[in-house]
Amino acid sequence: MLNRLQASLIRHRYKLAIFFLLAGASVICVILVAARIAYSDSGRYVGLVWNLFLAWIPFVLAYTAYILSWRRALLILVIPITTILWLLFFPNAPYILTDLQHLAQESSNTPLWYDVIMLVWFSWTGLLLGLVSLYLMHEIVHRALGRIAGWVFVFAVSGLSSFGVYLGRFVRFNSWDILQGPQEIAVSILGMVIDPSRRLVAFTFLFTLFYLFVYLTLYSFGHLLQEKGNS
Amino acid sequence: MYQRLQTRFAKNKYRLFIFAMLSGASVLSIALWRWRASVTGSINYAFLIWNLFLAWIPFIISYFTYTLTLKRSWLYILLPIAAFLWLIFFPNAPYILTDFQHLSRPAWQDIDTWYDVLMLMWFAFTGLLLGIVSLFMMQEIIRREFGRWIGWAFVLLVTISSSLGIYMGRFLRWNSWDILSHPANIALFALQRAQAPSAQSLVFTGIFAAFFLFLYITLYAFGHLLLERQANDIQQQP
Repeated sequence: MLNRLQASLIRHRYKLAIFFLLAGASVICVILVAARIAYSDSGRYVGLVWNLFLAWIPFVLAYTAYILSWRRALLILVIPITTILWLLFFPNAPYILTDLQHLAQESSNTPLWYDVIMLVWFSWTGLLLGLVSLYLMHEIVHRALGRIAGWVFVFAVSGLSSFGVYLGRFVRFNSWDILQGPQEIAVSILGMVIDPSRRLVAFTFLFTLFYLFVYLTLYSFGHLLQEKGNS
Repeated sequence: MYQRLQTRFAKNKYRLFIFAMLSGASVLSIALWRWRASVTGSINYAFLIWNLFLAWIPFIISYFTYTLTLKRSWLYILLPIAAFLWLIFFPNAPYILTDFQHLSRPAWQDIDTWYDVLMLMWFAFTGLLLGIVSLFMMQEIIRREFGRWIGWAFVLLVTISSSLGIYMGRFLRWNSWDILSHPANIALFALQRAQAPSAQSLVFTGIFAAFFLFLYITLYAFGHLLLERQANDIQQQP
């Protein structure tokens, strides 16, 4: 029993390492905000902590799905539900990147460079939470349906989630709105899709490209390590 | 001949792919700036292009060094010079992250804020990824020659010194080439500052170094996740 646990820990040590690294980074992010509050006596940027919490939800869902999906019987039952929930919450992870815009309404009670570096910490932690959880889902799809389906999934999720980030940023929708009033949401999204504004098209397109660029670069960076292993 | 070229391509395909991705991202970043300039008629943020160009220098140095040092005779002549130049120029890659601060300039808000955020994201992330990949190549050279621990000590050293370098660039407005044009002045001034460091320099360098190290180790672990998958696949085959 203990042996098996040990073997499985070693086998998954990088997954665990990433989990702990991201947890540590989140703690540092929260400390940075707390230090800012103590220094400036203003509650600005407290919202970032909430956004970071939301970014953890898809990560936890993907992690759970990944572990459960090893059993084929569970796969068919659990995966559809987790995937839908995951897809709903996924945009929260890259969403934190758009919080950089708060720099444009800068307040004078803390040095600017501190806010920049704090936002950089938050945005990268959120982005990485998203990337790793997308990778875990990519793996599940790859295993169950094959390689091409896996990449189609990644491209589809990038596009959809960029649209989701747009909905959150400009239309102020939340992930859970769709559970409360699905009909209204569906109607208003349909309206936007039928007659899209230039902002919607430009933002969604650039954000999708950006996300794919980062994902593909990190994916091949991972394979670079493999190339090294082969030589 | 042709076949040898082909196997070489196949062997290094991910490295070439990363190169292509980063080039594409740079072109797109510049296109985004061009579009901004044509809409607003201003040249705000033009320095981003210069900064991105500077971020390419360490990448190119490490790319060539990585290839050339595969021949052992080259290693000892080339490595010290290349490593020195690389170290001087390396801080330019993560430096672009600090350019986010220009978002707060009211005079530069002549286009929708979200557009500037996206444009800066493209520039800053391209620069940062250029830095990460080039650091990885240098770490590989060191590891190949001197072993694993020295490779990681090198990463730690580069992280700290480049965070200091970014501080010098951002707050003291130094450039990489200042150290070549008047080294004595720079050294003296840096020594003076080091004896009585300001709170600003300590906090900035500390938080930035922690950030860069976190990012690098996470991406390194993420890379090994792909290896883990391969190993597991092999194990599960009957």
